[in-house]
Amino acid sequence: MPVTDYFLLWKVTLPSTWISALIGFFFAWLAVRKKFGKLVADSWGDAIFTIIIVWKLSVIVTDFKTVRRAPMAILYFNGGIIGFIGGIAAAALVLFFSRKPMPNLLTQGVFTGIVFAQAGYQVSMAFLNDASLASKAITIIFFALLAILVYRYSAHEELPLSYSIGMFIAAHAFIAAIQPVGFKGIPFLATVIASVLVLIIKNRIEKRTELDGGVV
Amino acid sequence: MNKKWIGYTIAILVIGTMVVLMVKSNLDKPEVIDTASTKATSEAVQGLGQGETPPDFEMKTLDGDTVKLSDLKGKKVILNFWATWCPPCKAEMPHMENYYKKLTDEDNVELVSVNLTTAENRGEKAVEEFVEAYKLTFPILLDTEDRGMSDYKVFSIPTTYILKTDGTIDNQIVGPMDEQMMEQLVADVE
Repeated sequence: MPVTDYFLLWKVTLPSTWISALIGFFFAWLAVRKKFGKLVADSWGDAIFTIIIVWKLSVIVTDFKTVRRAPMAILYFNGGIIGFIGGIAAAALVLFFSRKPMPNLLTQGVFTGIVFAQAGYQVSMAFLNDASLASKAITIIFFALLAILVYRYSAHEELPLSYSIGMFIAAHAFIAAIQPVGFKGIPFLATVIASVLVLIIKNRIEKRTELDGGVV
Repeated sequence: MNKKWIGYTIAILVIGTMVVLMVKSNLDKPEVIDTASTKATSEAVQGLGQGETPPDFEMKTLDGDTVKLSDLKGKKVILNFWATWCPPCKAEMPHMENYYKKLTDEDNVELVSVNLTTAENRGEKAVEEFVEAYKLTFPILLDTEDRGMSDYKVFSIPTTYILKTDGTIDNQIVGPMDEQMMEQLVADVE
């Protein structure tokens, strides 16, 4: 059973994963913009831009031999899973060390973005690829439910972010266990790493704020 | 939603994941090779669409051997059309070489790399130099009769067809592929 279908657009073949990722990122930006406002949505946009740039250019590191022989390879290929995870790490650094004013609820907003990006990606993949009806239905229902819950409760400051993150990772693990691709590839790893980084950033920001003696 | 309910939900999801993984590992059976499908090729429609049988050809390789596409039935085939002057083809070749080097008999995959020799300014000589420069070890077929462009409608290169063991088309890729993509495409062949 094909896990990743390919689509011929104009004269280029695009994997469904790219189309779904773009849908997910855009869907996430909309949700963050509506729920948390322009400042958080801008931070989300910066993070996504960083991820895409690092993912694309990291091929210079991950496949230096090919790039040295054919520099045009930078245009055609990307850093794959290593590049994407590197992109997430770089985006976390950009968020944490950004000189822009850090808006309230930044981490909750970014976490909401991660959940919506993953939900948009997974639902879109379910529509674009072949899989059993049960696997598709569970993917769509679970991720849609997660997105709704996170959208509704993520701005509640009394609900610790660690609980929401724990539930998101556990839910994604359950869905990944059912899906044909399982835990392989970028999606589940991205959920775990991005969520954990958001939690680390939140703790660091709180410590920094305490040391500075108040909220900015 | 309170903390207690989130805790319960996480516990249920973790247990659910473990149960699903256990059931899945018990249900996994070794893949059965479908020998019947290789015999049903006469029923497949000729064409370049998914599930159709592409036009057969017989071409000479750079080493002087002859390769006939229909002789490769029973194997998964990566049928790649390229030219030495095409930048994405140059970027793709090291990946193709790496992929080819890792292939074993168990993979049951044949890499058929067709150079569009009629589109080469210096003909076979350019192909020889290219193969030497990129240290390619897989056989290069020379399309001296324009079969790629006329029969396979290759207008953008590289163009690759992934063929199933019954000789029908599983996928068509326009643009360069990296090693990971080749592995994924072949793994997805039913």
